[in-house]
Amino acid sequence: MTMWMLTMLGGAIGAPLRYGLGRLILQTWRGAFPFPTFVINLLGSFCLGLLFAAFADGPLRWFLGTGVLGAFTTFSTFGVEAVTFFQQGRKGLAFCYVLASALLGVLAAGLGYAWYTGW
Amino acid sequence: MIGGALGASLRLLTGVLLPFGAWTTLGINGLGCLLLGFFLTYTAGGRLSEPLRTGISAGVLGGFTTFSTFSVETIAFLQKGLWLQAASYVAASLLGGVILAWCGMLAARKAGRTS
Repeated sequence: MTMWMLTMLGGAIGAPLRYGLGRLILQTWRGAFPFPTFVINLLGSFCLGLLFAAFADGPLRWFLGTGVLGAFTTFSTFGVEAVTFFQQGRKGLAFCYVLASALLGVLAAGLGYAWYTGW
Repeated sequence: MIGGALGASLRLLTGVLLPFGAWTTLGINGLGCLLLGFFLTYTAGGRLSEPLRTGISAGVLGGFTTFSTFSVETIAFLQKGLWLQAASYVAASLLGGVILAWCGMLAARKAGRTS
């Protein structure tokens, strides 16, 4: 039950954070590349890597990891954005977006983890 | 906010019913891509009020899927030296997500024409 409450509460914080930060980035960035989702996913991956190194399985991981960061980052928007580019004929952009997100996302999580454990 | 809480709980529910792990995350992300592709295309053009549309797309479905867990699970594979699993996990997530989002959008277009 605690697990549910913590995850729900975290999700209720993470998702609006994504929405708000996304809107904020869109105020300064008007190019084609979907920077909001990109930046949010990299930032969230870094933080979750750090969190996994810092805390053992327990309430804090449920709240911050499964809840806040899980809901802050998003895979579905990423998938739909990539397909939209593809349908618009911007195949290069779609390809770069998918590759850059995956490679840098994994790298960010590794950096977060390594930063805490002292490399 | 309510959407995000719902989405994250749904992800937790799936994780409790199925064993937690990379392959469950893969399924969640694939399903979320399919549903979001369908939903956004189907509700384009004012079928739903904008707040409700944002709540479901950015909230429930955005909160249901997760990118950070995907990254950390890949790192966990790599740390254990499971290079092949790491590579297939990344490839399956990316290809699966993109293809399923595409299928969702196509299905919505079909459904939109017949209704």
